Amino acid sequence: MAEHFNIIIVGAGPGGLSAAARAAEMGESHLLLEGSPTIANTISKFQKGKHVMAEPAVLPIRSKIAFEAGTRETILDTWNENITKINANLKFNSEVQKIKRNGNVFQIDTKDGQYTADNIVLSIGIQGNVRKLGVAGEDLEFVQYQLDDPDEYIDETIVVVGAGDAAIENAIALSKNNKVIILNRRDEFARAKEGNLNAILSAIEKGSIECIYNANASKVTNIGEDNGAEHRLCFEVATKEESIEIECDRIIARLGAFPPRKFLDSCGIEFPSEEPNAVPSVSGEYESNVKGLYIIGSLAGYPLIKQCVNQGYEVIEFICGREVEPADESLLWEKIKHIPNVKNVNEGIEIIRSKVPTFSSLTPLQLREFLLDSDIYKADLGQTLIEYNDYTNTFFSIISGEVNIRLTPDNPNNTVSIGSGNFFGEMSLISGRRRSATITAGENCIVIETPRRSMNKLINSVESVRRVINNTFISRAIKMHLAPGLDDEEISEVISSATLSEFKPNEIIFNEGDAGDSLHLIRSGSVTVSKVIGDKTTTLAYLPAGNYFGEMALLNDAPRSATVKTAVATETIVLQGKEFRRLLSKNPETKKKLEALSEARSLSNTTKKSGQGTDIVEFMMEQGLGEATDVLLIDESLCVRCDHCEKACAGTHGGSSMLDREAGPTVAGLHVPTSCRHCEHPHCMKDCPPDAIHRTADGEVYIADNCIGCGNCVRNCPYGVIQMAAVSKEPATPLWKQIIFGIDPYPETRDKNAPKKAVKCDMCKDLAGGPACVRACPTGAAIRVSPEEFITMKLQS
Amino acid sequence: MHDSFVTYKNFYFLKVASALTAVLVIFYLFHDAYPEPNGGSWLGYLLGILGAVILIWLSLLGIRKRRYRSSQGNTVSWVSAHIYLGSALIIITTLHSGFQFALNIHFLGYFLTLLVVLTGFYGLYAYSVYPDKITANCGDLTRDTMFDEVIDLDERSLAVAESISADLYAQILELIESCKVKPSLFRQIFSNSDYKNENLESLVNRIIDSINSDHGNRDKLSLLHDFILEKYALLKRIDWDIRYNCRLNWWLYLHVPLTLALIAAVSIHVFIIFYYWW
Repeated sequence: MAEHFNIIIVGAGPGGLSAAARAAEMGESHLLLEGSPTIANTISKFQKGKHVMAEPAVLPIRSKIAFEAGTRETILDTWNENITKINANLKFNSEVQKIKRNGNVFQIDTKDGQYTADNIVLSIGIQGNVRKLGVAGEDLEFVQYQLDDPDEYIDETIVVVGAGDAAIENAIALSKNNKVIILNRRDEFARAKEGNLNAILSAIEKGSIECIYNANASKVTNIGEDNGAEHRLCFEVATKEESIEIECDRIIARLGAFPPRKFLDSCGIEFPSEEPNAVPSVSGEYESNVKGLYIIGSLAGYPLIKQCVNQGYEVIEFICGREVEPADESLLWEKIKHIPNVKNVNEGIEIIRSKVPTFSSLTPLQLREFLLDSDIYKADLGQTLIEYNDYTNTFFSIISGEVNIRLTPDNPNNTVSIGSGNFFGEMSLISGRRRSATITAGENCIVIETPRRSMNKLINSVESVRRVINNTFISRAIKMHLAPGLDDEEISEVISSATLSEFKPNEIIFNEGDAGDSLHLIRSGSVTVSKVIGDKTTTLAYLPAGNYFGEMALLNDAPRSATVKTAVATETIVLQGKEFRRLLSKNPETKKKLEALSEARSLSNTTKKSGQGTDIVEFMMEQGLGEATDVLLIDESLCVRCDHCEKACAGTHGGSSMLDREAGPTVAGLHVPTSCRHCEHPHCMKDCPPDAIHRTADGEVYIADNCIGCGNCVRNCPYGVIQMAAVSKEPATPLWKQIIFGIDPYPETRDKNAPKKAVKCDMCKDLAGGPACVRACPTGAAIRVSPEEFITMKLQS
Repeated sequence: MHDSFVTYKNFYFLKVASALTAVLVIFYLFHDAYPEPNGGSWLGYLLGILGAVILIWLSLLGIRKRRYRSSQGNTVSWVSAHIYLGSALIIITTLHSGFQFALNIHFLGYFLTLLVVLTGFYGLYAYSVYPDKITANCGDLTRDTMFDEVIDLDERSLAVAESISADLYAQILELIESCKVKPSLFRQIFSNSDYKNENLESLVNRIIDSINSDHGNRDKLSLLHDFILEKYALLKRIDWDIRYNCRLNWWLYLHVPLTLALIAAVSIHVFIIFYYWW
């Protein structure tokens, strides 16, 4: 007779373990079945020593299974310890082969046993079902689908198949001791995280990894040892042009995984679509369409470990008929309670959805996740929410009341108001530049303030949000820069004809002499304007985001008078000539202003000397300064190579210098040392798991103390200015020894095993007087300037 | 945008130092000292105290420039004031002496002041001349990258030589071991001739001879020839870089110890004055 349990949990991953722990804690009869001989099969297959993140950071853990970010090994040890202590009923090596419903009970068959249960929790994840090569020989001995310890293999020829993060991380780790070839089915690594993308491309460029693009596996065969061959396997691969044979010792395919469809179908679980990646739909209580069968974790579409652990707890509570508040309930209430007359979180969520149209298309779950990162507060009358010229980049939505936008920076009375349901702050979010206006709170003003990262995530994942924000950006940008004083109706025709264009770095937008009938407004990035004067190309201007160009050809109906080239990746809003001219003919005032501006530009162009300032501007653009907000420039004719800038940096940052004076290029006596430029859209911010990189109102990009040392920013920075360093608390060399014996203030005798964190220039934001590197320079060779200012000065002098 | 320590704030400290010395010279000219101008008159004491205070302040630069957290002015303003007030010190101490010179401890202080300021003048000269020379010599390379290139050229030369003959390989190896760029201190400061390596030149000549005679290995030999000459050019640049950097800084090894000696001499001078006075 089969043993009976109230709850059988299938799969001892983080979700299953947490469910079993809760069931054991509450004294429910339960059994946890695991197919493999260990817990958390997927995580134990992570690369050795891999740092496992605990995201989302603010979400509390409510299970007996403890979880915080750490190495694979420490996490597994903790879980083993937790699950043993709580006496959960756990059976290893018991792969479930069949689940069948017999009346009110489920019958579960494993390899060597049979059980019955009233409820089943499926927490099997999707990694158990790895995608294989799908060709003959896919199961040969040296063809593998995981990599535990890359240091296990030495001097082998290894083919890594795949283009995702796992494949790239494996390939890079293996390339230290082996010859590695990576096989990519497509012509680029589109799915990888930015950091991994940069790492793999640079490894391919350096030649430490060979990459075959557009390649598909055709066949794997063993090479007989008696043939005296050097390698074990022959891997036949078809590329676009030809079929090639690669001799290798090992193939590691990292092609992802998909839900075990056949098994789930046999249990009677329905899927919303035929897509192999589709996950079954579950109710708010994680119950599938089969009554009594619950699904949690990545199989239900929740891939984060923290979510799995919480769901394991919650599902047991639901099965036992107890009500559970979502884990984020109290956190959300702390925010939502600021909305007047709201009694609970759900009510607040509904109010936000109804009052702010931008968010009406979000599901409550999406909105909950979004609000978790945001702040909701009541602003006092007159409180400054955004200060003109600040570098802040949060996004505001108005729930109720209104805000006043100052139209001219210095006149506090010249304002317009926008009210409930509107949003603001999108300009700096999109352009990465300073705030364009001061905005203060009006009567009864309640706002949601959302950090840059969460807002960008939402813009990138919800099409309707992206559309609304883009259109508003266009309309406000036109009103601000081109047609102040006009209302929405007057410019609506121009807006509806406006399109967004994206350009790569160093791409020519148009050439001098081209026919042109459009005007560009720079949304993000920057461009240079040049013209052939005499026989030399001469740079006329550098235009960052917020400026426009192309108006001369449009106003005068003439060919383009200059060439415009992007300095960095740039987006522009293109306004069509016909519609724009119609707008101008209706508004002679606006036309006159624009003509006057255009004339001034054209006049200043005619006074330019051939080649004037061009070398410097070209050089600075080559160094990527087109996206910098602040750069360290050294005048080589003044620099006495004393390295006081570096010593000062180390002296004010725990002993590690964040600038390398000597490294970096030099043109016409101007040296750009390797040092942070505080980019408009900082590359380092892109993929920071704890969201530790921020920008101050003055523009400094800095790394906060919650850095977890993952190194993503180091890989993401294209300028190589972030390092991993152990921050030293040791005292510096005494001053008298420095003066008499010339000993370095921070000699390099530090603990090699000290934990490392990312360090970068923070412009000494906490020191009175500004950056120590500049203040320590004895000869005035080092300055920090905005490239925009510097270039404008160079082009004028 | 760059504001050099010489022209700092439109020569602000030059103006201050000039005004100060002008006033002191006028005082001196109209001062009726008895029996003749000397350090013991009220103006003499004033000049002496002023000189000592300036001296102490000037020497504090060594500490200030290492106080990276200090917000008392930029280092560049300190340096600018240092050079102009330091120059003024020659006039102030000369006036203080009342042009009475004799071989004694008091004169030692005066003499050391002159030496310290003169080494400082050399420093000013070095700071205005050598940075440009270093840039012109190194271009985009640093000394380390030049050494890396030399090592790379050595490895490539050895590989080519090995494929020609064991004898040539041995010669190249010997050459690599003999190529030391280590100019003597004298040479670093005074010599203006390029780095010279006779072994290298004679080996290059031998290779040229072989190119003409050994047709079979002509291409490899001319490659080797280019490698060695490329390395020679780099060695010359490295040698110049070492020399320029030395010239930029060697005076500090006189300027700082002489300053310490000066402070000691002035202390004795002051002690003696007050000892006799008392």
